[in-house]
Amino acid sequence: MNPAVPTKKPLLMVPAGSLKAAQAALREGADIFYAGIRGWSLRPTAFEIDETEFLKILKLTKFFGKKIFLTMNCFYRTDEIPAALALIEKMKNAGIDAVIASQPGLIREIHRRFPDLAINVSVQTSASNRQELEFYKELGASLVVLPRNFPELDPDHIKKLAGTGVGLEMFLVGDDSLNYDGRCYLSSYLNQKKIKDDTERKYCMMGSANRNGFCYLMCKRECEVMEPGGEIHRGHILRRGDLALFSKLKPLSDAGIEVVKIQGREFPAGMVKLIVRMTRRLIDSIDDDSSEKEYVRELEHLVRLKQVISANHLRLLAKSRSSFWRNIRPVIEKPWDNILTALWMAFPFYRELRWKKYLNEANKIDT
Amino acid sequence: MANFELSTSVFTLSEIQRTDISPFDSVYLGDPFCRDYSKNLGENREDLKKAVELLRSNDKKVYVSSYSVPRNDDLDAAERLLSWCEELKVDAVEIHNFGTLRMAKNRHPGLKLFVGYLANVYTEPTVMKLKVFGASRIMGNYELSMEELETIKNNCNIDVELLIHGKMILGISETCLLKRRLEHKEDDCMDLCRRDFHLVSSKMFLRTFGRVTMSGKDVCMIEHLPEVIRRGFKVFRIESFAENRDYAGNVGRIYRKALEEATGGKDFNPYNYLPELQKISRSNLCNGYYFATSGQEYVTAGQRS
Repeated sequence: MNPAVPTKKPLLMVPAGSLKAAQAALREGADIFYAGIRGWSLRPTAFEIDETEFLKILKLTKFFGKKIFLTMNCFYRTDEIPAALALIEKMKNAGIDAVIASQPGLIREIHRRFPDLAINVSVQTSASNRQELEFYKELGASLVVLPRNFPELDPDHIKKLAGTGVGLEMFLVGDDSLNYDGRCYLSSYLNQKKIKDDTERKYCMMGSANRNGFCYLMCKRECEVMEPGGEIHRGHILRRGDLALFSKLKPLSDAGIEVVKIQGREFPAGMVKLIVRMTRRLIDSIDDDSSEKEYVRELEHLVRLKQVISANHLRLLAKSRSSFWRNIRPVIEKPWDNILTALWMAFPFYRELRWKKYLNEANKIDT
Repeated sequence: MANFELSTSVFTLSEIQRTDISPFDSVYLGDPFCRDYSKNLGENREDLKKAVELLRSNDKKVYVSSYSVPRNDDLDAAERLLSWCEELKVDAVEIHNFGTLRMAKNRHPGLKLFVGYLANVYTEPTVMKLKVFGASRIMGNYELSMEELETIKNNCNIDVELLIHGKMILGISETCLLKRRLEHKEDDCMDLCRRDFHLVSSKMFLRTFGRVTMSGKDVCMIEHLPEVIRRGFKVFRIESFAENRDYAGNVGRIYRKALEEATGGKDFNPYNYLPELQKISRSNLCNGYYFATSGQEYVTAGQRS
């Protein structure tokens, strides 16, 4: 690469899990916002926003000339598609810039009805070869999110995907999932229930990661590996950890990534603010190697805070004190994390409000 | 000629040679989950040719499963497999990836294409789109209930294949869990997945097959065969690749007999077969997602009616 040519700065896409988070991210310089409306996106309902809040965020982002994407990435039932399209039409008239979708059928329908609306292919499709990108391009998509697996996010691999005519997007911060996104049915195998929903979807398959977004996160729980002879090894966590690719930002942008995305519609506004602020600075100084390192270290600490949140998440799901300590121990043993844990614990209002809601949902089905 | 089709899947030539394939009408060849699986029929032309000849001589239909999650570097291998299939004139190719599907449609228009369960087919518009790409049979996502599958089958006028017995795939990862667990650093595969590794937690019992995680329980639909047939399903699969060598033959024979009885209008009593199936499967039974429940639940015929 010719050092004289500056790296093209990727756009920064951030979660708008609440109006507060959107306001904070806006102040810190986010380019694109994404949010889903309750019942229609892959998030537990406690972390979703209703239409009024979405429209408020939409107004705010439009006023400042930013973009907003509507997340419609569940695998809907056939009879839900007309209602989904009606919702998209309504939001299109309100001014959204793109829809994030994952089903080929829905993508085709959206493109057929609203040809001028951009379509962002969701991470749930796990598109990871050129032919697949072409497939979605033919359906009408203009931007594709790459799967959140480390090998897929290698700059050399991404170089091979560039140049098909669809933009490439990737998660800079997120969970590194055990299975390919959208190809994991562990949660619904454990527990799935058809429950009545107060949204337009009428009923939902609670427990299915693909169809509802409420996932039991089996891969984050401890399990035992039983060998053929019957020997048992305890204490395995299937998931590898979290994705934080800050140090790779420059090679990835050089390889052709146009949009970097931050996962976390469930994060409190304060945390979104911090991550967005630092990622913004990192993107702005992309060609400046010296300043990069300093931010990267700070950002990695932040991601560790996210792991603390995950541990809390588990604690609430498992509802057992002992498993809480099992999950929290590795974090507490590190001094930096100790401080971050304390910080997290110091925001009880958020924990009470949102996690309690989530816990209620879990109670409904966790018989 | 029976008015149903019973199939199974086999990964290597030696597995076909030692499996009793007589109860089946068709066989899916090749491991769609891992390209490193040794002697994988999908990677080995000579073995594939021999397997096709063997099945043809037994008057079986031959389908080939292509690799389900190809990255960009795997596309050449997918293309190679498609050309072998065309050359060997196999009856159909099962495809789990839309990229491979597009390639098959554009470069090998003569091939008959099936869409597999890992392609995440959930709705009718998706199926209609896949039909444009040449799909003539689909295996809907395992999470779909029987009602949803029936609606898709009727409204889209397409063959829908059902898993009636065997373990479900509950996820595919890009790395091998077994290699990772044993910190196996060499490139060559030790075929760890051929041994019985299980994942056990307080709530679940799973079988791990290297890159895929499978249900610990076997899906068993013998009790519900009358309902399955009433809903008009005609194509059935028995998954037996992670089992011992007698599994496919034994289960296949039971289901062939049961299906012949149930479709032939004879008296069909599932309880003649259920105890034997329970004995064959080394774990409990479940119904998968067919009745909109958790995947690991078992619903009896009495609870359905």
